[in-house]
Amino acid sequence: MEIFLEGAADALTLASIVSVIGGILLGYLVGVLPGLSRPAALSVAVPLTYSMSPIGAIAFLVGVTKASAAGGATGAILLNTPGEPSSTATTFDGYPLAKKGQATRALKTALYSSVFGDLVATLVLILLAASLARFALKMGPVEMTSVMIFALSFIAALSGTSLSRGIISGVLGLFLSTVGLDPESATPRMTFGFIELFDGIPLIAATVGMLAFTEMLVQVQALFAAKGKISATSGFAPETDKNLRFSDLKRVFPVTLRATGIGIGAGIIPGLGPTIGALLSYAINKRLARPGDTYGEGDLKGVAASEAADNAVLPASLIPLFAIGLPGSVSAAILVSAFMLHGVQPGPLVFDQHPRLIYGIYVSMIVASLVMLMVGRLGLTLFARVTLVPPRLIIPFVVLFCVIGTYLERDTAFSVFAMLALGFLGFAMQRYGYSVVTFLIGFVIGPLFELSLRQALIVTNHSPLAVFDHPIAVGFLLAALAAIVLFLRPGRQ
Amino acid sequence: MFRSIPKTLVQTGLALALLASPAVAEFPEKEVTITVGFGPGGGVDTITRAASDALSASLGEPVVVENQPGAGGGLALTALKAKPADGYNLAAAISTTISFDPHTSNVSFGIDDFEFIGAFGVFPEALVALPSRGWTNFSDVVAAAKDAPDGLTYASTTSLDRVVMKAISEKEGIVLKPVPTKGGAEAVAEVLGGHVDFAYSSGTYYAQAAAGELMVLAGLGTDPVPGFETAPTLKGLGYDISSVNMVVYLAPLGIPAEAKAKLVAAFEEAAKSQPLLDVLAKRNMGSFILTGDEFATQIRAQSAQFKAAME
Repeated sequence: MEIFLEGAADALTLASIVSVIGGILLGYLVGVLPGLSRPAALSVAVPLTYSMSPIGAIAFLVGVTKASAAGGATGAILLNTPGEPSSTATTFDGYPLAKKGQATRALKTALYSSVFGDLVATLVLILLAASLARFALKMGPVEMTSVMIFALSFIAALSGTSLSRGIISGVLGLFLSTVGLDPESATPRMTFGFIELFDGIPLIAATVGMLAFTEMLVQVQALFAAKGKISATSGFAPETDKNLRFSDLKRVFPVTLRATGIGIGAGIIPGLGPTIGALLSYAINKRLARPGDTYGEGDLKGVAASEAADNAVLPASLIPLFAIGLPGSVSAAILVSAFMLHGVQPGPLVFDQHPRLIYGIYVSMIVASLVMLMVGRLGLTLFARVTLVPPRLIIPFVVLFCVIGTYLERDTAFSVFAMLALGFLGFAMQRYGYSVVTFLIGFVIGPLFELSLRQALIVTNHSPLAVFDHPIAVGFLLAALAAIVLFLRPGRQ
Repeated sequence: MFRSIPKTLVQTGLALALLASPAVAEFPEKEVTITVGFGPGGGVDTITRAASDALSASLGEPVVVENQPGAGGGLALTALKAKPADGYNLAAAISTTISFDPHTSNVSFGIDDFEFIGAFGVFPEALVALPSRGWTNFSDVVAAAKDAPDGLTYASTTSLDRVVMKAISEKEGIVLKPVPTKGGAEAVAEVLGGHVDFAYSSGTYYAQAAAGELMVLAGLGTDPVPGFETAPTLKGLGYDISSVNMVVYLAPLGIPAEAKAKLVAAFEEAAKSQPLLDVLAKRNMGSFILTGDEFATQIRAQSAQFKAAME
């Protein structure tokens, strides 16, 4: 207890709180700007912490990570441009809401569900780290393969108007995700001699191109179509209602709670990360929709489903990091290097060696949640005004940030061309009713699915019956089967 | 700006005065750029940034550190090959990017495309397993594999470990099946969860091993893993293969001899700097360094050994 108080005192010094606020502001900016991604921002921020105290440095980086997740929703809602790949699912309902004149309501839902998911996941980290981390280790290749099959079954739920076209897009996404080095033999596949493709088609180029750049092309097309009668209107219905009521909160709360749970699960299991976590949560909540819910057409529940899960992932991904030394997400992996820079080796011994620092980090994570709530609340009113700006002014800026962001991911122009090409592909797909969403699900899940499946085949000696030795895997496979049957049952919707 | 004008005038004057003779201005005249082939915040990046102050102090010009991650350092080396060979462009990668990758993947560079400037630290590469398996070292694993009808599985992270394990399997007549993973953290998780029999890891295992949750079966280097000296090396167990993986600094082939000599001297000097030694110690990478010709000899020997093992 005494050590806990010492740690809390470290976290509540002026210097630490200033670091948290600085981190939140930087992270929020990165989150709002499309293309500038969380891992990139963290990587840039790590050298900034060289001269800080360990607690200040880590508080700063935690602030960057948390706020970039929360800020990512802003672009997703207002511009159909997720600031982070993990906010992809937020566009599904956030943007239709903004179009309907409910931008502020959507932004508020995003902020509150983000902070809720984050805070609950932080408390789970503090209270249950050790026992949950042991559970995470039970997730081996066979279990992961069935989780991926479960996730892919949601392509059916998210296909939009045409199931067959949704599946075609999903398979196309899976197919493009196989570009790059073969995970087993390290042989280049479909790289056409480009060394830039060895690590696959860059993820940021795919999400930014398919969502943001595609949307800008759609808007440009609309501008051309309206040639001659150029209107100053922004394409958004005017905002009549900006308030969230108690009835809204009551409606959205169960979804937020479920999404937080899914996000925590995605954080604990190494490899899943926030993008898959948020997509999974959106799909599961959509599947569990009640009569009257309008997922996909602008429902506050859809925004909460994505954002609460996205923000729950980071604190949860610190659970395996603190308890067993294994990062649960890319951002957590970058935090490891920051820990090591400041003389702390994350792992099973960290509570014996640096208890005061760990308690200090816990307290500053909670401080960060609260600062994020305030910064987000202030920023929201400002950002909601974007809907008043006419598209001819918005489009150039968004395209500029699309280009900068994709360039920064790997420091090559190749990523920029990949983003542009995928943007045109997305435009053509949308034009003919092929879902960009199922494409991205296939693309994001593909590499992990392939790797887990091939691992599972090796460890089970290519015997499909071995799956019965893995009860968790059987559970997920049954859930996937149930999901498919449920969705394909005629007469629904 | 104002301060540099007189300096420039003096330099121009000197250059004019020297025009009559074939001598060139002394290296370095401007900043030296090191392109790190891995992302910011990782081991190679941290080590390079820790060394950069000492490097610029001994060169007398700033050292700029940039990142161009991709293809396990291969992207930065591909770019380096095309850069002017004037000594102002260096790239940081790991030994296997240059000694191993050209043998397996279709990269457009080879070991003869570069000058070898310096190398810092050694990754504590090792084979690890759960202590509950009751093995004392890697020879027990070989014995267990001989009894197992389907062989044993191990978590693999690079093609390098697959080549090493294949050489051992063939020599012993056993089956060791590699389970590919995305990196050290996943490999360690697989072995901790009991999903594979053992794992290859280049350093992630260290904290778990120090806590006694994992045990080191064998080191891959020529010397035992620091901190686990009782564990044998593969060489010590009678296998004629080793991997000495270091953070390496390369320049394009054909840089002026004078520039190379200056750079090598600067790296020798930087290797003694405290910030670099601290970072290496935290990453359990020792304080071993190699520069210039010694480095070139060692990395060519490694490259030849991997080539032979793959045939």
